[in-house]
Amino acid sequence: MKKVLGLALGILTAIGGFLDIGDLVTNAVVGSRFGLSLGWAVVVGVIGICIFAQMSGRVAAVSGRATFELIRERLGLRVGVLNLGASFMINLMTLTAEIGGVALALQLVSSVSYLLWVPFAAFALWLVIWRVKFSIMENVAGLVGLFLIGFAVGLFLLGPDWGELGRQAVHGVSTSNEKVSTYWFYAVALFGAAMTPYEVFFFSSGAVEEGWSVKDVARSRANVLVGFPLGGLLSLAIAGCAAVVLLPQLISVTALSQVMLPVAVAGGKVLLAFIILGIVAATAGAALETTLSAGYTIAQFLGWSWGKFRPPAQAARFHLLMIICLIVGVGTLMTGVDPIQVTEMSVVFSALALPLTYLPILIVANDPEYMGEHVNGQALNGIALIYLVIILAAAIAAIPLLIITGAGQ
Amino acid sequence: MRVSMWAAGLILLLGLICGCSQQSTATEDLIHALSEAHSAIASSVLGIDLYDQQRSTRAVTETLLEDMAEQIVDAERALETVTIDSEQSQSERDAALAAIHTGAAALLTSRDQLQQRGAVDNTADLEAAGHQIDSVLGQLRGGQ
Amino acid sequence: MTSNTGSEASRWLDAQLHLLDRQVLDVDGVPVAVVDDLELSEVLVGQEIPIDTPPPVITALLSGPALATRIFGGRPPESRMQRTLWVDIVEIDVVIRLGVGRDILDLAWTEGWVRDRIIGRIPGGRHTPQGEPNDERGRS
Repeated sequence: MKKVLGLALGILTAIGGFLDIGDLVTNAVVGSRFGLSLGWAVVVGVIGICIFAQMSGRVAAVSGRATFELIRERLGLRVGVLNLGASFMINLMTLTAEIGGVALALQLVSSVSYLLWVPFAAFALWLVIWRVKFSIMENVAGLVGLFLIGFAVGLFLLGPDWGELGRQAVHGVSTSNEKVSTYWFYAVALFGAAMTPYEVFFFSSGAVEEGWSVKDVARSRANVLVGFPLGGLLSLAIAGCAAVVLLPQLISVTALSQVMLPVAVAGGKVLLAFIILGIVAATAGAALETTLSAGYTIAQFLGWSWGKFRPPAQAARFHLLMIICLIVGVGTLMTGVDPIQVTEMSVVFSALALPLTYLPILIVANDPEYMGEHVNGQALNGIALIYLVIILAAAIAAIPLLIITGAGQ
Repeated sequence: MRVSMWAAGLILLLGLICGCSQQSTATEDLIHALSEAHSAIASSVLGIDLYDQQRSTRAVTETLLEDMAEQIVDAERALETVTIDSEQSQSERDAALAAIHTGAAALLTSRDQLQQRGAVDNTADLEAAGHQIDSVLGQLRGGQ
Repeated sequence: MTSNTGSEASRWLDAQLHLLDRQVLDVDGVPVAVVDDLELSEVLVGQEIPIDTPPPVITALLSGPALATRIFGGRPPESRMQRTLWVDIVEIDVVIRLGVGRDILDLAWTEGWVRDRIIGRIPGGRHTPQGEPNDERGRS
């Protein structure tokens, strides 16, 4: 019985933890402008993150080494430093976006400007990292984040023409005024939103934090293979809600408050309350994960002591680094830069940075010195290689598309 | 040697891309600004409607009107940078400017009313501004 | 291999593959540093080695501010690198385990400084997070 509960918890937290401000914003924007015609990009991204997370979790559990420790050991210093620099900067960008997301959600509750919420949110996040146990943090954020299932509920309540939605998914939106380059830009953005790298650093470091062994790998596989696709379905629900309510009125999403419109139409204040609570939890959870990831990446690479399971005094530089990251995030947001734009940039840059972490994990997952008998099977390697090509294609296309479309205008 | 060749190739590629990224015409800029304005007005109308029906909270609606006001004011400001290259684009810009300006005025009024009195009663003005924006948008798109 | 393992059969180690960039853990399993360089006995840089000199022996692992020099060239001076004595090593595996605690090592200087001056001063800094047993969760 306890095992079933544990399994359920894992799956639920995977679903709730899957969505962050990047998924929320990108799917809403895409739904309002392209309907469900980019749904395939979400599917591709979800399959990708399943493969990626599962591999990195297994690598961490079997070898006892987390991602960035491996990158330095296995790929050498030059590649490692480049990798570290890029991953860290993008992590920082995502962190900033997530804190912005928490503040925006709190503004929706209180009408108090999000700028005033930013320092408060960052302090609260720090406090959680400082004092709250890893598993409690994960579980609470994941379970409350599950309230975002309200989007799926909302989509049903809206009573959409499912045939029409299906047609959009397959054939595209006929009356669109959007350019082809913008379409592909958002495909890359959705892909990056689903396959956020920090997810993987966090997953693998979490495996070491919680002391996973080989037998925990099977459990993690279940969490990932069930949880992430369900999270992906929620992404599609977000896009669907926007497609049903906003697209026909030619409302293109540029603010979080607009994302609430379909929710209010569908279920009134009650659904609104659920969803806003879910957004606070999901973005806060993601903010915690990205902050920890920032700490993990640098600390693991440089060989510092790290981990939430240690008292902060025993992982002093790790904690100092995270404090500095939070301060930088707050500082950036206080300049008044639009958090939604930061979010959109962060998902595109996530797509850009994916090969940097995917490739090392793939290499180590095939290395018997680290994995013993648990190296990748042939089938997994086949799919993993296909995804390597997709990831490289997205990464190469990201910057040109960003420039050509002016960040999706 | 190899590194500098790679760097040169990369810079060339980026330059090519920047060059190829379309320079938008004046009309396209106007359409973009008008679309943003339309989106802001339509969102606000929907948001206020939901609030009146008690399906949305005051906090959410206030935030929405704040965000949309900012957006339409940005759209209006963007028109300043539109380069005029003919008499036609001059009149087009004037029409766009007038429409967006009306919309901005109505939206700001709605936002202030909600903040001060907790209720909005100029939805008719908002909708009228929306129609005006839509008609200019239609003309510009039709002429493309 | 050298000194401490008289009884084990000898093992071939490739310095670059098995030693360089490897994580060093202290006796409690707490990470202390990453290997940046090796210190060899009786090898003087820039001088000719006489023909019947015995092969050099690794005396210590070196860690320090070597990232930039390893990428762009050169070596930091000896005084800036921190030594982990070869005799203190207990196991060389995917990580390098020492038989001594971190408190007696020079390596942990920055960590100790940050701990004492900054993190240790913030309330709650010396305790594990709520509800967490203070076990050293092993591998890294």
